[in-house]
Parts: sequence; structure tokens; C-alpha cells
Amino acid sequence: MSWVSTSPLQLIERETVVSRAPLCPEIQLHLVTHTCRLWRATDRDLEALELADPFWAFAWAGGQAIARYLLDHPEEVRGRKVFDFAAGGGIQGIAAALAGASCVAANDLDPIALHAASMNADLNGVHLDLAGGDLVGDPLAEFEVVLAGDAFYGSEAPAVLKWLCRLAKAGKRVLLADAGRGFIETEGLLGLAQFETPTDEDSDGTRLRPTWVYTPNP
Amino acid sequence: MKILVTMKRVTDYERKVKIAPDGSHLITEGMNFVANPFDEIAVEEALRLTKAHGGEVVVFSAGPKDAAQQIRQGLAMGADRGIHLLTDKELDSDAVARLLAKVVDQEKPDLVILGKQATDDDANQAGQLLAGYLGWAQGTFASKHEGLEGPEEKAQKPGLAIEGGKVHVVREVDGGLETIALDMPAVVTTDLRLNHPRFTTLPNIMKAKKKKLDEVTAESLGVDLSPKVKMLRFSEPPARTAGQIVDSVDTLIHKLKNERKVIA
Ligand SMILES: C[S@@+](CC[C@H](N)C(=O)[O-])C[C@H]1O[C@@H](n2cnc3c(N)ncnc32)[C@H](O)[C@@H]1O
Repeated sequence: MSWVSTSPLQLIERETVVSRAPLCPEIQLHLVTHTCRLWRATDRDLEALELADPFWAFAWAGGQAIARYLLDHPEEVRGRKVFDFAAGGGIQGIAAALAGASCVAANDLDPIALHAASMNADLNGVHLDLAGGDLVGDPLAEFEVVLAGDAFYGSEAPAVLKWLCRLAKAGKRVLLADAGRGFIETEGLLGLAQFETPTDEDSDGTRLRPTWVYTPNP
Repeated sequence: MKILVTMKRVTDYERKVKIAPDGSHLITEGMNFVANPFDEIAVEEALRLTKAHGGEVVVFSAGPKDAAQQIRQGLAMGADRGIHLLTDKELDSDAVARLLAKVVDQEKPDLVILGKQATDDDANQAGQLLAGYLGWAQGTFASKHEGLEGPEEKAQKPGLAIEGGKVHVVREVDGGLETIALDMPAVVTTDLRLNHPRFTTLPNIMKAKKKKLDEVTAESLGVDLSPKVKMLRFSEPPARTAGQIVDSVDTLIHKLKNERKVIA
């Protein structure tokens, strides 16, 4: 494989195909699928491409679940200001925009994710504001709804959940989704919907992951 | 159901290992390391079983810091979490079996699946020793029912099946196959023809980095790693001398008789 580094835009165009996540066929996304060379890339290939783990290139179970939930329950976001935390490719933010949110900001640590989210928004004829950097702990004063799709990984997950619960206490509508990845306690959360989300867990792509959309208990 | 599998870090079997000039050890600098292929088969089989019956697959490896790569590979294949026993010591099979016995005490798996042997030392002992320490039933050299040709056949005839609280193991024995039923919990070791391990894909590699990987030490498990088996010497297979092309059968017979003295 030869990897030539280019601009994020070119990289996303070159390494992905326009595709749809199984749970949300309404939404088009630039995704790495089994037809793309990155599908079988190793850590070494990513290094050669100077690419951080491209979380934006896949529609994770949690993002799919929130997006599905919002498309089915547009009243959750209609006319409201939405913040999409750990947006990745922005699937849940795009669903919010399609559901009639007055504005949506996509936030991710990875600058390439923001490029991808913006390109994905274009594919679906919606607009996302982009917010880089780590905003965990921020009061998010301008926003009314906060989304967190598949954002609970690793040791920082409990701190993220605490922050989201504080935001909920402060009166914001918080929707989060987890596919039972085991990094957060879901006991204090109210389940709003459950989906059997097809994921790429298996090499044959058939494993369904039970994925919950939650909101913090009042 | 909980299944514990092992993933040993071994020298790449596709590359030639170098032996120190005095034969005391192998030169590992610059070597490529991979997962023991029999262990990959163990992970694959565990994933198939939990896909069918539900449950969790835990990957164990004992080895240096970098052995985490092999555990991550198991996690990228789809296992749920890892346990890494950190050590820079050379372990013999007995130490590995005693470590695993402790991990089994803590994790209480229904099944432990190991490669039948590792491609670096070819010892073929850890699984058997572990079953001995635990007092569990063992099914070694798990293989596949005949029909290795088409992909459908391969998919249809598993070598390991769980039925009525027992694990049925198809074993490769001299000249054929035998099928045995083991009470669970049990220890199973995998042979080459059991399955074809899946390839890892990027999303799974990325996810694997976030999965839980606990580091433990031999001290915390209360296991003494001093080997019972001491490695004395490594040596290369004898070099082959160059062949000769002879012009007639008569010359050949003459040479075999008089030069090589292998026929009278
Ligand atoms: C598994 S992806 C989920 C992406 C998307 N929500 C989905 O479900 O498809 C997790 C994302 O969280 C981002 N992330 C992790 N920590 C973050 C933080 N503190 N602030 C913003 N983004 C973060 C990562 O860069 C990554 O894109």
C-alpha cells in the first residue's frame, strides 16, 4: 500500500465511500467500509498515513442509536439548540438537524472528525457548526440539548458521564447512547429506547449489539 | 458462558531465528513477533462458541510489556477483555499452567481453550498441565469433522460443540478422528484444522485499544515463576552439503558404494 498524505478533505474523499449506517438509511455518510483499503489497515498503516485512529470513519452503535431515536422522535430537538459531543462523523448531529433543530454544533477532539462531520452534513443538505477541543466540564450555556453517541470509552468515561448528569441537572435535555461497552454505570440512567444495532463486530458483519439511548434520571 | 483463552507472543514462524554463537540463547533483537497461530485458533473457537451460546471471552497472555499487542489482537478479533501477566522472565509450560490455574480460580471460566502448543518452543504441555492442576477434564488437539473442503462444510461441522452441559470435542488422533464428551468446566487445546481464524479489521483494532486490559504480576497471584525445566542449548539443524549431478546410473552406484559408502 502506498499512503500519500494530503489535506483532510482529500484524505476523506480518497479513503471512504458514501454509504449508509444500517440503523439510519436516511443519512448518507463518508464511511470506511469493507471495500476500502483502510478497512484492513493496521496500526502501521495508520502511522504511515500520519492518521490518528479514524473514529469518524465508522458509524458506531451509539451514534446510530441516537440518530435513529431522533429521527423517530423529532420533538426532542425540534427548534432547539443542540450540542453533539464526541461527534465523530456527526451522525447524531445530522439526525438532529434533519429532525428540525434550530442549530447543531459538532464537537470532537480530532480535527479530521470535524472535517468529516462537515462533509457528511453537506451530503445530507444540513449544516453543522464545528467546535474543536475538549469541552468536558463546560456548562454549554448556549445549548438546550446535548447528545453523546458512543462517547464512553476508557478511563475518562465516568468523568464524562458525571459532566453530562450535571448538565441534565442544570436543565438541559441530555441524550446518550451506549452499546454495553462496560465503561459506565448505567444504573442511574433512564432508558428511552433500545435498538439491536448491526455493527462490524464480526468479520462477517452480522453481530447485533443491543444499544440503549438513555437520559440521566431527574 | 465464560471462556478463557491464551494468546502467546512468539517469534514470527515465517522468519529464521538466530542463535547466539555459544548456543545459550536465541537472538531476539530485530525479530518480528506474532501471536501463536494455535492460540489464534483458540480465540476464534471461543468467539464462535460465545456467538452461539452468549457469554464472554477473556484473553490471557504472560509475557513482556509488548505481549499486550497479542492480547489486543485477540480483542480486535472480538474478545471482550484481557489479562496481561507482566514478566520478562522465560517461562516454562509448568509456570504458565500454574499462572493460568490462579487466573481460573479468580475468573471461574466454564472453558479454557489454549493452542495445543506454541510455535516457538513446541512444548505441547501447558494445557495438559493446567487440566492436571485444576483437576478438570481435558480435550486435546481439538480438530474438525471431515469435510474441510467447501466453506459451507467448514461452517457446518464444528470441532467443538456444547450440548447438555458437556463440551464435545473432535480430536485429531493418529489415522483419524475421535469424538469425546467432557464435563464442564474443561480444558481444550486446539489443533491446526479446527477453524480459520478471522482477520482483524480497522474498526475492531480501534475498539480493541479501548477494551479493558488488566495487568497482573506473578507476585500478586502468588506464583513462583522459577522454571522446573532449564533450557540448556540451542543448535541449528546440521547444514546440508551441496548435491551433485551425475551423468549415469553407473556413476551414481559407484559413488554411493565407494564415496558415500551407503550401499554395499
Ligand atoms: C467511538 S467515537 C463515536 C463517534 C460518533 N459519536 C458515533 O457514534 O459514530 C468517539 C469519538 O469521541 C471523540 N472524543 C473522545 N474524547 C473526547 C472529548 N473529550 N471531547 C470531544 N471528543 C472526544 C473521539 O475523537 C471520537 O471521534
